[in-house]
Amino acid sequence: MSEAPLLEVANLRTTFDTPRGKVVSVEDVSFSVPRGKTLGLVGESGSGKSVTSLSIMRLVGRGGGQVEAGTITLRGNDGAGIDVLSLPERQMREVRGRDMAMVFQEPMTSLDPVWSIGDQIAESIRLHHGASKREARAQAVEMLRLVGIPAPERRVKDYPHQLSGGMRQRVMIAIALSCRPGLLIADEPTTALDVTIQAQILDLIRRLQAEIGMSVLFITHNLGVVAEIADRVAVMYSGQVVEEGPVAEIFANPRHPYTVGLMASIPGGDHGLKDGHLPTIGGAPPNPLDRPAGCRFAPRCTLAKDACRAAGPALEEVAPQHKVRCIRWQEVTR
Amino acid sequence: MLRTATKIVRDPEMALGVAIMAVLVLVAVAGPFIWRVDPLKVNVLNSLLPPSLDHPMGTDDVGRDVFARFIWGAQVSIGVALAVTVIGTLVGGVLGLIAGLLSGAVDLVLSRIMDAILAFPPLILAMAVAIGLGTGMVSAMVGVILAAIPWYFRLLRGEVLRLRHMMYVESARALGASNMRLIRHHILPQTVSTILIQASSVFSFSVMTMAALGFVGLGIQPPVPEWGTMITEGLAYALTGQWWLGLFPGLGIFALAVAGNVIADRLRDIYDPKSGLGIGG
Amino acid sequence: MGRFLAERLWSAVLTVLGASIIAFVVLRALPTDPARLIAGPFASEDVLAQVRAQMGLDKPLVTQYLDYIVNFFTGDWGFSYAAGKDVLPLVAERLPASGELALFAFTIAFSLAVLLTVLVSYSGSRVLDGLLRAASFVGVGVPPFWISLLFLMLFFETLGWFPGPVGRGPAPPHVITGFYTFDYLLAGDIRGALTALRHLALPGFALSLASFGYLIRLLRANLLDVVHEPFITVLHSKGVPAFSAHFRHILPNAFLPTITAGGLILAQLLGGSVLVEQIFTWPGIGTLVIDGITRQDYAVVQAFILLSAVIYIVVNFAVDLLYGWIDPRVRRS
Repeated sequence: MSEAPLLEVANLRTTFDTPRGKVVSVEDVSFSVPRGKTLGLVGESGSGKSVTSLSIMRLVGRGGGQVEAGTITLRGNDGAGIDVLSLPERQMREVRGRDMAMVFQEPMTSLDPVWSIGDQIAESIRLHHGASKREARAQAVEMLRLVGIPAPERRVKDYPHQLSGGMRQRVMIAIALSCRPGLLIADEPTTALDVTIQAQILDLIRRLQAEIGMSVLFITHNLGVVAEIADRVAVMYSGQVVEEGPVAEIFANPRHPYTVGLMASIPGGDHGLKDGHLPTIGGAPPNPLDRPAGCRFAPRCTLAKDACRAAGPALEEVAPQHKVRCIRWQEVTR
Repeated sequence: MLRTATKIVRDPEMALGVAIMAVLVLVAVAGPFIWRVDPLKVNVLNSLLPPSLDHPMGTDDVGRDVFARFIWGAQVSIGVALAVTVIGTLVGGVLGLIAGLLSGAVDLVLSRIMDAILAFPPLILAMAVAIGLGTGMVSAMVGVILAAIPWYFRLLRGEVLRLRHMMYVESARALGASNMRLIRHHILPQTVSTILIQASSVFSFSVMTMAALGFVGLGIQPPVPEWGTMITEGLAYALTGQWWLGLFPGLGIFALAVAGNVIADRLRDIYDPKSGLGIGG
Repeated sequence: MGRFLAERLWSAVLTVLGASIIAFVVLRALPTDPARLIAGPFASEDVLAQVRAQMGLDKPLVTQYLDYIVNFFTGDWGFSYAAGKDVLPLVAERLPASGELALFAFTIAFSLAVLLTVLVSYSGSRVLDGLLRAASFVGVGVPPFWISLLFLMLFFETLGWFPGPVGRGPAPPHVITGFYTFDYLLAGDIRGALTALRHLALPGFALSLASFGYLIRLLRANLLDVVHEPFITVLHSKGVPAFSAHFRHILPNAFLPTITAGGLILAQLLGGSVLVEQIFTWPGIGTLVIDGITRQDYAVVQAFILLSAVIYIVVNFAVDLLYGWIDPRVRRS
């Protein structure tokens, strides 16, 4: 880790105004994505993964949210950092799609139904590279070829409804990568797809990552997928990062009870606590409007004691590159 | 249920719609007891007086008090619109239920008929019926009801088909529930809100269409003061300075129609915030 | 596409049949004596018998219906006693006036509704949105014949800005299209075209209000739906500017469904301008029909009733085809 990470998120706090009060959906979230590597961001639905990714893209405002605190730094190839949160909207728009791009969960509804897929890819290219219509169209065909769509010259004129879900997700990836961004944010890109297609899409992302040399922030609720694709992993729970570190380290040495619980739920995994303490993640994550005062995981944690409920623990470095948000991390072992 | 009730009470637009409706109903119901002027009493010496304290809405060409006639017009308009809405809901709703439950040939024929009715502009259809049945209030009402029936038909048929495919109705049917039971316990409770929304729209439609029929002389016949016919009478004096004759009855129609539409719109939002438009709106 | 076309055509034909049966039942089989309707209340028994025979009322109902529908589609729409003419040419000569008024009202309603809704949604202002909603309620709730009256009192009698209820104004020297505005323009007479427009203004606006209100509601609902579609977030993640997202993506998506509504509104306007025409003594079909009603000259009214349904069905069919041609989802599947 001598090189500065491509993306650095520090102490991010994002809130939403709702009729029933302010919801802090992401709080004190910090992690970094190394250059050319993949960070897996894991958590249950509602844990704040997607809000985190939209905060990085500065797209939470559309849903009524705002980033209240924290810093997000994106470093270009020259190593110069961009302070994403203080960028004027105009420049931010240029960053979106060019320096960082996003692939979403729902390929069926992520494309404009009345634009041909070629035009939707070309739109990005024209926007960021100022290419002519003809050039952009030619590049769109190339992108379709790159993401493995057969007969791209012909398919470029197709409309989204003519494509299957897997094909649409390939188109989404083609759009996202059309300007060769330094960072790809993939928000559960395989969740809505058939299992066989899921593996294909994962392979595709991995292959293109090597080809383009980009970093990937891969968001998923599935630790199994993380094991397969990521170099580092950050586990989120109830709006906070509870554990972050290299994949090998975390899988070998999980230090947060929630991470251990998640691992136990990987099919075919042999993970579990020693001495008969099986981690049951019973119950549900707390309502964001009414979170417990101390550790947010305490109500569901078998190890919780009074000190856990008294004050929220801080993210603590327990090994090189490995951080945990638990005061009893020493007692958590595999 | 309670939450819905609070939402309705707290919605300012809904409050406005209900308030307008309430004022007009009050005028219709309590008006005759407070404003004890005979709407039919002719007094040529008092003809075409502009609004004053004696005649808040002025007098017409034969000296009748326009306000007293306005009150009577409100009674007629609201009463007829209520009757039309109730009968239309029943007939259209029952036909829709039948089509949805029996499906097959019955459904096909009924649906075709409804499509054919919908091909006529509603006002033209009402006019045709009013002519065919002979001019008068009942024929006009039948015309308006006929125009409104397909809207309810489509609504109820669609709901029945949707609900029939839902799990719990399927299982209720499997347990041997009769059609009547199915309707009473499953379909009606689910569709009350949609029916209510449609009914508010139809109420507005009825007010407007009855007035239009009255305006062309196919609706309620003089001397009964009906807002539409009152506007016709006002038309003759529109360009000679007697603006009050046409203005007030039209305001009545306008207010009643807007109130109905606002209520329908708000109900739709409250019950189903995602849906866009209903039919017949 | 061929299958789609055939299905729509079949459906349209069935609906025309159904509508003709309804028109027939309503006007012929109901208790009122159709001969009495045609001949008028003061006709003698002899005349009535003559009319009955002429109309084929002594034949069985099925035969009567077949005659009726064959006559309608072969252009034999009966004879107007009031005008002393066949109904078909009578209607035909009135059609351009109604067409011009309907087209004018439609153009106003459609362009204003689209313009206002799009601008308001782009501005994102809650106040403007509230005003727009209020405008739509007013548009839908205001009786066209009443607003015609108010327009006349205000803009003609009081302010004198527009001509009164005198119809279309002077006819152009050469009637080519039958639309005075176009005919004047074809003749290069700008002043004449403006005069024609001034005559169109009041009835046109009065007629447009209901469609205007309805279109606003429809477009607004569509826009709200589209704005919340996930693909809009995707657009922003691509760095597409808000303006481009709004006008090149959101608008086309929201606009497509209104094509259907627009066609039906145009059809309704053609048949629905009855009352407004009457008030402005506009020499169109509406005035003809109201005169027919008041003079109990029912041949005209009968023809018009079925005609209005047929126009509606034909326009509906045309709009379906147009929509199928424009919307890629229908076009290629």
